[in-house]
Parts: sequence; C-alpha cells; structure tokens
Amino acid sequence: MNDRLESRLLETIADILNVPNRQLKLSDGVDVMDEWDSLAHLNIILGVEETFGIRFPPKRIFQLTSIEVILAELKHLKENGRT
Amino acid sequence: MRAIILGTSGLDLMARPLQEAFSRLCGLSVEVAVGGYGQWQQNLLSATSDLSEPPPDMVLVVLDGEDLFGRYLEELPTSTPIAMENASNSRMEETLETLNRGLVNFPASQFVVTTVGYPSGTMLGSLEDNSYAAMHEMVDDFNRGLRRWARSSRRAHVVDALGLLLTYGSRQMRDGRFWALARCRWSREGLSLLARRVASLWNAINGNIRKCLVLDLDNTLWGGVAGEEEVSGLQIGHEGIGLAYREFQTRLKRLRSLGALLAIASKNDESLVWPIIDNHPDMVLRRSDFVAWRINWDDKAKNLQEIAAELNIGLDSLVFVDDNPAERERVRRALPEVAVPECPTEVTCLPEFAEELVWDYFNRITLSDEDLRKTEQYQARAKQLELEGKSQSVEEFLRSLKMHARLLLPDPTIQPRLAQMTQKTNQFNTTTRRYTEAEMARLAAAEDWLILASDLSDHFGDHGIVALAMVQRVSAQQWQINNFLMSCRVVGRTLEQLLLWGVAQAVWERGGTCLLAEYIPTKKNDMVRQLWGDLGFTLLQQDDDGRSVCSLDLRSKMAEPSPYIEVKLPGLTP
Repeated sequence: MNDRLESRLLETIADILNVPNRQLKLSDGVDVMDEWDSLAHLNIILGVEETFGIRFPPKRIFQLTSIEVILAELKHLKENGRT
Repeated sequence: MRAIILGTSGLDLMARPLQEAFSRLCGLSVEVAVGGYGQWQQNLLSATSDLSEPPPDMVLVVLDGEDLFGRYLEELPTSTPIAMENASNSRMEETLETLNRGLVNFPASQFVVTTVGYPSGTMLGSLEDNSYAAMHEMVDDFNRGLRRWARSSRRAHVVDALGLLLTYGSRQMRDGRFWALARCRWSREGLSLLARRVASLWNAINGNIRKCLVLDLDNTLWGGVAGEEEVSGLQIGHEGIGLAYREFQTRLKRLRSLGALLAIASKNDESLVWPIIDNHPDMVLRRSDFVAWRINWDDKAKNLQEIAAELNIGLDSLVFVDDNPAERERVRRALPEVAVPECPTEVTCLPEFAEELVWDYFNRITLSDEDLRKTEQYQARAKQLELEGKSQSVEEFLRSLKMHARLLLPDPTIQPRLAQMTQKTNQFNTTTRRYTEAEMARLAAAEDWLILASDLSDHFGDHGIVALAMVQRVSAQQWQINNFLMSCRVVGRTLEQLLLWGVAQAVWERGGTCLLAEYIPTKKNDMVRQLWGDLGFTLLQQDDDGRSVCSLDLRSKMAEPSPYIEVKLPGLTP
C-alpha cells in the first residue's frame, strides 16, 4: 500500500521535474537537485495536492523540502484518513 | 509553438497548466516564457527583448483587477464622481495604448488578453450599489473597452476571466497561499481553468473545430429506454428530470444552428425511436436537426465509422456523447481519433455539460452564412447522393443538377470563409497550406497574388463557397498555383475544371502565359495526386517523396470551362 504511495509520488515529481522516475532518490529535494528550484517546488506542491486530493497549509509548504519528508507527510495523512 | 505570458502578477506557475491544456485540447507542444513580475507594460513596450526573440505565436496578457484598480481603492471614499470617471478613462487609455504598442512590437503574434475581475478587499459592502464608489462599474467599463479593442484587430482576442470567476467562483479560483508565496493570484484550479479557456480560444482562432456531435438516445437525450417503457413513461418534458433532458436538447439545438452537425448512434429499433423523435410533443430535437443516424444493434464503433464515411468527414471530426461508460470506453479504444468526453452521472448536470462541449470541441470566433446552413447543406448532399444512385449516366446526372457557380474575388466579407476552407479541407487539397484570416487578408491585397474562389448552386440548393485557388506570380510570365482546394461534398462535379479556367483567364489578363502547379502528398489527399495531369498539365518534375510540379502553357493550351456549370464572372481584370 505504501509502495503504491511512494511510486505515485515519485511519478508526480518526476513528471514535474522532467527527469526519469528511476533517477529520483528519497533524499532529493530543494537544495539537492538543480531542477528543484523554488518555482519547481511550488509546482511540486501543486502536483502533489492534485494527485492526492489534499491541501497543505502555507507554513507546511516550505517545510516539505525533500521527497522523504513529503512521503512521510502523505503516510501520516493517510493513516489519519485524510487522503 | 511558442507562447509568452505577461501580466500584472506572478505568472510562473501558469506555464505548466498552459502546456498541459494546449497539449490536451490542441495537440500542440508549447514552449513558454514568462515575463517578469508585474512587468507586462515594459515587456510590451520594448521592441526587442528575450521575450520577443524568437517571435512568439501567442502573447497572453493576464490582467488582474486588484493590480489595475488597486490604486483607486485608496482614493475612495474621498474622491469625487468626476475624479473616479477620469481615473477609469485614463486607466483604459493607458492599457489600450500599451496593448496597441504591443501589437506593433510583436507583429507576428496573436494577442490574448484576459478580462479583469472585480477587485477584492474594497470593504464597500452595499456602498458598492449605493454610491458613486462603484468598482463594479469601473471594471465593467474596462472590460467593455477591452472587447471593443479586440474587435479592432484580427490579432487581438479576449478570454473572459471574469466569466470564469462568475461560473466557478473566487473561492475556487484563487488561493491566498500562492499569492503570499509567489505573488500568484490564482489557485491550481484557477490556473488550469484559465489555461483551458486560452487553449480553447486558440483552437477557435485556428479553425480547429470538430464538425459533428454524435448522440446516443436512451438516457442521453431522454430519460428511460425507448421500447422498454410506454412513450408516456419516457422522461422528456417540462417537469422534473425530464426538464433537464429538455434543456440539454435545447442547447444542442442551438449548437446545431451555430454550424455543428448532429447525428445519432443508438442501440434501438428505428420503428420505436422515430415516433418519439417525430411526434413526442416535448422533444426539442426533431429528425430535421440530424444529418445522419445509425439506429441498430451493431457495434457503436462501427456505426461511428459509417456515419463519418456517410458524411465524408474524418473520424477526428466527431465527438461522441453516450451516458453508458462501457460504450464510451469501447469507442475510445476502437477509435482514438473520436473525442469521447466523460458524461455527468447526474442528469441535471447535462445542460452545463452541453456548454462545456462548446469550449472543448466547437469553439469559434467567426460565424459565416455557410456555417448557419451547414445542416441543410449536408441534407441536400444526402438527397443528391440518393439521386446519384438512380442516374443513368454521369453526364445526364451532371446536366440534371442544373449547376451554376459564381467566381469570386477575395472580398473582405468572404475572407473568413476562405481562411476557414484552407484550415479544414484535407482531401481535395493539392498542397495543404493553412492560412489564418490575417494572412488571407494580406495575400488578398498583395499585387503578386491572385485569389479566386467559387461557390456552387444546383437543383437541391446553394452549397456556398466551395472551391479556392491561390496563385502567385513567380516571374514575368509564370504564375504558380500554390493552393487549390475544394469541399468534398462537391467532388465529381467538374467544378475544378471551371475554377482552373477562371484562374487561367485572370492570369492571361495579367500578362501571364504559363501556369505552374504543385502537388504535395499527405495521408489524406491522394484523390488529387493526378489532378494536374487530368486537367491537361505536363509533369515537370517529381521527387522521391511524391511531390511534383506541373505546368500548363496557356499559349498552346488554354483551359476550358465546364460544360455542366453555368458561370458568372466578377471583373477579372486587375
């Protein structure tokens, strides 16, 4: 179940950053990848919100700075029945 | 293609939704560049910049009410009515001047400008309606001025952002988070809706419009299954759920009167269905609204193919609407070129769904007399085909049609139709070159181009303007036929012979003695591969890829008119 979550997330992010899916690592994020600049970050947030039907409060948006962190957030929301 | 996005707020987040909308609705891949935050005026007023090179196909200007009128909010409540009116007028003038300079600085681009929304945060409450401090009026005047401006140039167009806000609501289309974090005034939904409207407009500008809406009957045009219940049990009427179906039909009838063709593909018995369509008092659509139908128990994909063949249009001209998801999926898989939108599960959403069909598949920016008579033209053609089956010989048949035609010079009133013909004609088209209205207007006025069109009427009715030749002088003696096209529904009438004769006469009067003509093969125009040879031209050269150039020496072999078509000429001398 969580594998599906992870693969959907990676697919969403890969599409937005325009890189191949398998190239992404969980540790990738805002300061790590060149492609993941501030504009890309907002596009990723928009993409994740759309894919998973959720909405992040503004403060949270700038805390979700890597794939690992976003994945943890999604799992947390799922456990609480929010996605 | 290339597009630039300029505006009064931060629009970087608009790039992706725009690319997605153009890919989905127009089949185009778009390279997007976004102007600096709030820099739309500087961007338009500067003739050379990163944005203007290479020249974009589209300049999208997104204007926000808060940014354009925000300053005046500070001046209320102490301002006077005259001052407010002056402020409003000067804002309008300033904006139009900038846009007009933009048109000059980006001479190859189509301009798409959004109407402006009512600014939020005025804090006026009902003062808005009870004092001169009427921001709504200021915005309405502005938008009226913007639409007037768009009518002044063929390259200027308006997308109604305010209309979208009214339909979907500020709550849905705006997102305070993105304003705070990226100075973007739109939400994800807002950006995506706006992008979709822009893509839809782009289709309309380029004449990329579907031709025929094919409809299921049971639970699509009426509630219930014909044959399974009494006719009185079917839901079409002025009460309850039947009202939703009736309103759906009313919108479809309007769509057909605007030039779309309607057809039926339904799993049913004809004997059960026609009494309903012909006689049920609450039906809005009647038999005469439809140009083709397949009412049988066959596979729907097969029926759609037959409808397309009967109407002589491509599968990519069809939109298929059916309440049954299994049927929709079947057609999507079997015929990927046919557009199959998702249908609402709730019947009361059908009327709105009809309106969405216009945006997604049938959007247009011009409406010609031809368009208004589309259904009648197709019905006349069907009658003609029926007659053809009974004819004794081709010559007798052609004579019996009593055809007459007018050769026409490209008057501005017919230029939209001519441009449209170049965009939509695929089969009887020797070179498949497409032209926008603006390009057609330019060539119509050019000294070294000759544009000649022909209409056609016969026993059954007026077919409208159905053939076009675009010829360019390439040397003192030689004129080249760069485009020669004809509507499929009049193929086999010898009209091409008549048009060529008209071209030859006109070229001769201008001192030309030789006609050159090209053939550029495509997947769809094989029917004209031998056209020039058949019309008496000599082959000059043929490439490996099938392209050919032919010539006709008018001194030795003048073209002849058609013996079956009576013709009226304009003054053909320049």
